[in-house]
Parts: sequence; structure tokens; C-alpha cells
Amino acid sequence: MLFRRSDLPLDRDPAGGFLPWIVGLMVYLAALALAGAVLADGLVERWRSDLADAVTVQIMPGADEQGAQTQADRVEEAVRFLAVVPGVASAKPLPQEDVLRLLEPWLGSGSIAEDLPLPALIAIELIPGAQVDLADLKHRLAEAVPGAVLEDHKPWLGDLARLARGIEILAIVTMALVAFASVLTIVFVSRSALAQHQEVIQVLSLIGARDSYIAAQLQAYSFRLATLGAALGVALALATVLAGSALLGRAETGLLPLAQSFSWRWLLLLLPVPAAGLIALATTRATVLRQLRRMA
Amino acid sequence: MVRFQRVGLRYGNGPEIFRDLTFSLPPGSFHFLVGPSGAGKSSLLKLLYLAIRPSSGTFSLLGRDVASLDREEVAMMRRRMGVVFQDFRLLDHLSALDNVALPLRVAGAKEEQVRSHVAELLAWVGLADHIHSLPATLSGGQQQRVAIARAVITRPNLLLADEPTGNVDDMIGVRLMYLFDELNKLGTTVVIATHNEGLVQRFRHPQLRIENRGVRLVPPAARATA
Ligand SMILES: Nc1ncnc2c1ncn2[C@@H]1O[C@H](COP(=O)(O)OP(=O)(O)O)[C@@H](O)[C@H]1O
Ligand SMILES: [Mg+2]
Repeated sequence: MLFRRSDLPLDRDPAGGFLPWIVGLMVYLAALALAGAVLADGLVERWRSDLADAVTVQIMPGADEQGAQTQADRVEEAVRFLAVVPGVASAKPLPQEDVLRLLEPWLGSGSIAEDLPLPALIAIELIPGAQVDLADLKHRLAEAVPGAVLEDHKPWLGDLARLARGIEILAIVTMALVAFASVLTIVFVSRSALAQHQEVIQVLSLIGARDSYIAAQLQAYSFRLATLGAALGVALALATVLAGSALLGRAETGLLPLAQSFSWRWLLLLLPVPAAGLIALATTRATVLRQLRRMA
Repeated sequence: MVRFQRVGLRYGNGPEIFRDLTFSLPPGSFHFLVGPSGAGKSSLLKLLYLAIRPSSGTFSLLGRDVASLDREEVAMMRRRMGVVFQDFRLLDHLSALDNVALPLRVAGAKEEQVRSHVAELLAWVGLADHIHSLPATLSGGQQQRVAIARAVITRPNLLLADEPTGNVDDMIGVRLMYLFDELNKLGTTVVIATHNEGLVQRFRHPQLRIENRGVRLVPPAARATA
């Protein structure tokens, strides 16, 4: 049905010529929005699995001058405090080398870092599922150990998830708008093809062509153009995403690990290709059938 | 085959072309449709191939009241007819072969059958060397023969031809008339609009003569030497 020989000289249509470009451009935008949503989703998921039950405590430096205790003393005190809190599975100080490594992207690996006053970190693991009032714990810890700041990732993970959700909604709205605009464009192109080839269509009809036969010819035509355009748009969007991730990748290794967040969700980016084809097919068919009934 | 009952026709608010047109054509008949230019020969044929509808009255075609046909049934009805249009209406971008093949393809015929069948018929009408030519490269007479081949390729039940010999010389005109006769002998009902008196005299078929916004049935022309 799609690749049959055509009775209409559709290749010479002026209106059809720009269809792939319009569809391509719109699909490009939709695919970028989709890429944003997939990326945000992947990040949230990764960070959530990494951080969901992770709570850290920072023991700030500098308090040494104010109080009598050294930073190491206060780390020990905090660990002791935390160990008996219900719901806490373990509380372990992170070796200072690990802290340095975490800061490497910002400070470099020189010896300057070793001289800097750095916070000491304590990693806390919660018993999975335990309900711990972290806000209260943070308060009590700060009172018990000077300079101890409990960092709970949950609130900003929540923010991040909301942001991802927002991007997702944006992507869906963009897709809907693009689909709607595509339908309008395809209606226009179909009508103009009908008008352009009215005589040929009349002859086809006079020698016994059903409406569906005539529609099939135009359907095949707009299916081809829309699929081509969508493929173009998706290819451009993929190129943009890859280029963008290469740039980001060079700047901040580890923060936006696109390659690592690869998942089946990236296949969603291909969705606009069959979608555009099917939308074109259905729209042209409906338009042609309606116009033919009106013409008679 | 065809039965008109008090059919009236006018274009828009124009003058009446037909009024109370009543006649019938039995199956297997062969008629010339004659009348001066502008009398309504083409209009009567358009009614028959369902391109226009009567302004009043109705008629039946191949046993069906045309007023009751939906679009699908109109398409099916047209597949049982062959029409030679006065202006040919060939598709410019298709070769002679593809033009003639169109009614078969539109009806969903198998491609192997289409090609051999069409080439054979084109050879028969003297266009064996022009099978792959586009209409624009053919003479008026050659285009007309392509149009005729397209009309008869399906062996229609009803053949309608509008001045089909107007652009060809007498030799070929006669050859085409034999083709129509041949089809008629196989059972096709034929109506040929013409103002070629020579043909009407030579091929003695009854005439439908358009007069006074109606038609009069005239018996076959008498032999000149009778
Ligand atoms: N589409 C049309 N619109 C308005 N008038 C038409 C149309 N077609 C034909 N006519 C008029 O109908 C009359 C009959 O035309 P036609 O059927 O072509 O006659 P013929 O074929 O016998 O020469 C003419 O007066 C012509 O002007
Ligand atoms: Mg005429």
C-alpha cells in the first residue's frame, strides 16, 4: 500500500517540498524536549539510587580555634553520638583521601589541597525503611557536636524529581503541540495536492477508482515526506544531544554521565519517526476522503 | 441497459439542455449519437458516465436507478463502462502503456496480466512502437487511440465515446469503428457521439438524434445504393 507505483505526479508538488523541512524542524524541537526529559529522569533515578538512604555529616574545620577540641576529636564524638541513634545502621568517617578525591575536579590534585582546612565527612547508613526524623537529628547533632552539619539529600532529591517531572510535562506538551501543528500542515499539504491534481483525480474517479484508492496514493506520499522529515529531525536532535554531552563531559566528568545514564528510554527519541508517519497517513486519508465527498 | 424517464438537464441557471428526455437502449445495442454542435451530445454522455446528475427526472443504468447509488457503487458502475472523452483526458506524466493500464490497475488487476494485455491492445490500435511514449510526444490521432484503448481495455458492458474519430484520418477512423463493432459483437452496448456523416452512412447503426431538447430514434441510414 505504501510503496506502490503512483498515478499522481506528486513528486512535482511545490507544497510537498517543504513538508519534510517543517516536520523535521518540529520533530527536532520535540525530540530535544524529549531528550531533556529522558536525561532528567535518568539523573534523578541514578542519584536517588546512590543517595536515597545516604546521609552525610560534615564536621567543619576552623572550629578548632574556637573550641578546645580538634576536628578529629569532634569526628569521633559525632560517630559515637550517631551510633546509638535508632535507625542508624552505621556511621563511618570517610578517610581524608576520599574527601580530597571528591574535591579534585575543583582543587586539582596538588599539595595545596592538603594544606587547606577541609571538612571531615562521616557517612551514615540508615537501616532501610527506618523512619528517622532527620531534621530533629540534625538539630540535636549540631547541639551535641560543635561544627557538625548533617546533610540530608532527601529534600533536594525531591526538588530534583519535581524538576524532572516539570521537564517531562514540558516534553509532553511540546510533543502534543508539534503533533497538532503537523496535522495542520499535513491537512494543508494534502488539500493543496488535491487541488493541484484535481484533473488527474477526476480522471481516476471516472475510470472507476474508489475514494480509498485515490487516498492511498496521497497517503503514501505524505507518509514518505513526514517520515523523511521526522528522521531528519531526530538525527539532528541526536547529534545535538551527543555534541552537548561531549561538551559537558569535557567540563564536568562525573556530573552528567550521559553514557552511564543510557537506558531503553533513549529509544523514546526514535518515537517521532513512526509517529509522524502514522499521523501523516491518517491525516491525509481523512482529509482526502472528506474533500472527495465534498467535491462530488 | 439504459432507461431515461423524463430527464431534464440544465447547468446552473443556464438554459435547459434537455427536457422530458425519455428513451432506452437495449443491452447489446449500438447507437450513433448525433446532433449539431452544442446540441448536448457530450452532456448526454456525461449523464451516462455519472459525471453530472439530471436536474429533474431520473434514469437507470445497468439495472440500477442512478439516484440511489452511493460513491462506492458509482465507482463500481464506472468499472463496467468505458469512456472515450472528447478531450481524451490522458494523464500527461504516464506512458501510453500506463495510461491504458490505469482502469485495470484501479480495479486491482494483477500486474502480469496488465502488461501483456495492454501491450497487445496498443499494438492492435497501431501504437506498438509508442508503448512507452508520453502523451505529449504523440500526435492528436495517436492520443485518441490511446484514449480509446483505455476505454475498451476492460471489455466494458457499456462503451461511451465522444467524437472518437474526430482526430484520426478516415482509414484509422474506420479501423477504430471495427474495433467498436467487434466489442459490440462480444456484447458491449455502444453509444458513439459523432458528427462524421461518412461514418454514420458507412456503419449502419440506429441513431439517437438530439432535437428540441429531446432525442429522436432514427433507424439505420439506408444504403446509398438501395
Ligand atoms: N459545464 C458546463 N457548464 C455550462 N454549460 C455547459 C457546460 N457544458 C456544456 N454546456 C452547454 O451545454 C450545451 C451543450 O453542450 P455539449 O453537451 O457540449 O454539446 P455537444 O457535445 O453536442 O457539442 C452547450 O450550449 C454548452 O454551452
Ligand atoms: Mg461535445
